[in-house]
Amino acid sequence: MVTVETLINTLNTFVQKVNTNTTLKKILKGWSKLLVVKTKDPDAVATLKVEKGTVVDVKLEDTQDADITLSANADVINDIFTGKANPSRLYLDGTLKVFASQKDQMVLDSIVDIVWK
Amino acid sequence: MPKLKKALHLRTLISASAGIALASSDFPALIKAASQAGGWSIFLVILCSGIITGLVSLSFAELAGMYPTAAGVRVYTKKAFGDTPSLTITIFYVFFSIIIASAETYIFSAVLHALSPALSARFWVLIFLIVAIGMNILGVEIAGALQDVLTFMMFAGIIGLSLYAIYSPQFSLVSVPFAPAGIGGFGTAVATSIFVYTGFEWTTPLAEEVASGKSVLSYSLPLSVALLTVTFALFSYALMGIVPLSRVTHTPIPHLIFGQTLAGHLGMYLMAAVSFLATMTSFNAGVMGNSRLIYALAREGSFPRFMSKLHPRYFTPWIALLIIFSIIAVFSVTIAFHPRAFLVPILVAASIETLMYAIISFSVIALRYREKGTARIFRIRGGILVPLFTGFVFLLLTLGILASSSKYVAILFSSGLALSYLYAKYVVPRLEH
Repeated sequence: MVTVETLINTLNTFVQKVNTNTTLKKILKGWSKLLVVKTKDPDAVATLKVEKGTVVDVKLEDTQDADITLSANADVINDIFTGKANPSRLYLDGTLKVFASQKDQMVLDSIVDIVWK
Repeated sequence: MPKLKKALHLRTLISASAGIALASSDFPALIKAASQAGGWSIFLVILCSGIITGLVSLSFAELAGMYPTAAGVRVYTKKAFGDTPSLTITIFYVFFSIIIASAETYIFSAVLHALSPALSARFWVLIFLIVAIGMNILGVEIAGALQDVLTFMMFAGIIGLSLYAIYSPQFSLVSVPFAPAGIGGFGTAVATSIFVYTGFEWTTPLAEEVASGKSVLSYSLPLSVALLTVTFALFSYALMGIVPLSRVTHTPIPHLIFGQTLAGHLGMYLMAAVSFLATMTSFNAGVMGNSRLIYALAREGSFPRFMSKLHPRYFTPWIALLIIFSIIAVFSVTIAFHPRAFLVPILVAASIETLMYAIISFSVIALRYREKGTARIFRIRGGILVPLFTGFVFLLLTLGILASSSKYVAILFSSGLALSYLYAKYVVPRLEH
């Protein structure tokens, strides 16, 4: 069973990998977004603030200004951000729900892909 | 659920849905339906197809409320029927989108050729595809507010010219019979006219309201179908009273001929402008959505991995786009070399679209039993009655098109379906390993 603490650790580890990845730094230099991750079992909400390709803040709170919202069970979210699961497969399964513009969905998918390549 | 910044309102959802469906290829499809019905009953044909498409839109609303995703067909059918049937249907759907895009490319090129006869339709096909591929790789999308304005201009143009035609002294239906082809012709015409609604359902993943738990989709989809129905019914009726059917049956540009007959060069240019807007809104949305579906399938492991390559600056799936455009180029140039065959892709697309609507209806029924516990933002009333009715009606319409059209329609349809199945059954497991 994934706990909220596990999720936060996973997100922080992921953020660290994103912020230290030179390829991502280069391709995301103009990308500033608010990403909300919502989980069930346990219920949790985390907001990641991205400024010019760098994740500058991770908070355990909701926002009304989300550009991207991911929603799934906590174990699914944990598997995605630890690179154990293919987000596209989960998306096409209906297991992972993504609310965002088409472009932001592609950007997010490529971030996960590059981090865990 | 938090709101997305780019909230789409009911008006924008309707305009996006109707705008995507309204394409240049709708006009020859309407004329084909009119020739199958044989007379001015085309008005009733459109009403019938509008009512059954409106009913199937409720199935889309229920499924989109359960699984809000851009890859709708893949998700709904996977949940309802399992992986291999779902993949077969999804690949067939990709094939369908390419067929439609090819027909649209040729027909819009024929419009440009009519405006500049010195340059051939083949030349315009290539120019159009070069411009379109550039726009798609750059990721140029029409913003919600502009989409509203463009859609309003298109519909206002068609409805305005149609009403002008109906009240003009030239309008006469005296010599046109009601439905000389009988009930069989009427049924086939209904099946063909379903083509004009193609794409209205592509807005389901855009519905931010789905994310926030409101069932705006359940209004927006039937309303956009209603708008399309009124517009096309008026246009067909007006055209029948202005231009003899025999003059427009074998042309890809009946709308231009209608405009020219009604108001000379001004009418022709007005309809050409409508055609330009119609192609711009529908083609781009179709190709862009399709390329992203191919990207997602490649990332999933169902298509070769190289198809998921993204442009490093614009984040568009450029390899998938190049593949799609290459196939569209082959199809549309082939049509340009055999202009009399321009109706074949339209009829193939109509037969696939009616089959897809049947599958979507049956998916609702299957998921009512398989996914009883999944939350539904919108649920069709009356149990499974409506999806059962639309499922069987659309299945009959598919068979109707295949039985009444040229052998090439049936060959393309069945070979597309067979190849999709063989790929899903034998190639995908190898790719996954």
